[in-house]
This record gives sequence, C-alpha cells and structure tokens, in this order.
Amino acid sequence: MLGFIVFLLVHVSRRAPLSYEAWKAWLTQRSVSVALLLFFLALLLHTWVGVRDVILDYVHPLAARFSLLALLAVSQIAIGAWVLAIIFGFR
Amino acid sequence: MPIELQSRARPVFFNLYRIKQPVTAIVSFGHRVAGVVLALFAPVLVYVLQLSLASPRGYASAVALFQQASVRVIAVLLIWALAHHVLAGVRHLLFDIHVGTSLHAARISAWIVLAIELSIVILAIGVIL
Repeated sequence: MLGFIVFLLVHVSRRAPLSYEAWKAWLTQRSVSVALLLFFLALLLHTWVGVRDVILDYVHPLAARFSLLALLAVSQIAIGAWVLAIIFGFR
Repeated sequence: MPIELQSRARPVFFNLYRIKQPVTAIVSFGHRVAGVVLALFAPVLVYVLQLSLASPRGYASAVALFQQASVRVIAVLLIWALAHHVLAGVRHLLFDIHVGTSLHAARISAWIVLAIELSIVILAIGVIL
C-alpha cells in the first residue's frame, strides 16, 4: 500500500494530470487500474483488521460486538464493490 | 494500610489527563486513533475519486473542492494521521521481528517517529496550505 502511495505521489508531482481527460486516461490504463484495485483490496483488508481490533478491545457485550463487526464487514465489502464499479465504469 | 505502603503513599487518580504518559504510550495510542480516523475517511476519499472520474464537471468539482481552505486543512490532518499511522506501524513491525524491543530503544524509536512525522506535517503544510 505504501508503495502505491509513493508511486502516486511521484507520478503526480512529475506530471500532474491537469485535465479530466489526462486524469481519466492515466487512471484507466490497465496497469494503473489494477494497481489501484490491489491498493484498495489491501486497504480494505487492513482496515478490517484494525477496526476489528478496536471493536474487540472496547466493545464487550456480545450482541453489540457482533452487530458492529457485521456492520464493519458489510461496509468494507460495499466499499470494495463501489471501487470496482468506479474503476470499471458501470454505475 | 500497612506501614510500608503508608510511608510511600502514591497519588491515585484515574483522570487520564493528569497521568503522565510515556512517549511510547502516546505513539501507540496515536497509531490507533490515526487508524480509526483514516478508516472513517476512506469512503470520503473513494467518493472524491468517483467524482473526479465521473465527468469533466465532476473532475472540476473535485479540483475545486481542494481549493477550499477547510478541505486543505482536513487534507493536512489526514496526512498527519497517515504519517503517524505508517511510521508507528513500521515501528510495530520492527518490534514483531524483535528489533528495538528494549525499553531504551523503544523510547528512542518513539521519538524518531514523532520527529519524522513532524517534518512530514510541516512539509505538507508548506505544500498544501
């Protein structure tokens, strides 16, 4: 994930896409969109692990714990589906 | 209370703001807080990405968004959160491979994390604000 962020920063600072067309063209390049998808996959797994730990540490009643973890799982999957839709254009 | 404990009575209080926290605790807790903040903002970032790709107008709105001072301040805060989370995270990963686990080394690495993070935030403020 860190590699992707560094890559993004380097690219933008070297040749900032100044127009919608340039931005879209760059992002929809197969290599960049795959990298973006991998980044978000890694991000969603990472946030799952992190927020799950926070919930487990601070929320003890079983019902609340289960509901919050379920909510977390659903929102992570939803964000993943959203990113897929954004990158592959079907909305 | 036994005599030994009476003569060495220590203050007991549970107000977190009055307890002097070690720097390692601050870095570690900051790692967690930064993580939660970033996790909460992730959907916002996805939304801005979507906006920027939707149409030329959407792209223009996304760019215009970042002209606003309040958005730029939030951006700097998010960069701060990311910097702290990544640096403290690397520190944790090093602990996992048993690097720098002595108390002395841990305190030094905590201060290093804070120093690097401060420079990143200053850099970000310079670039963004």
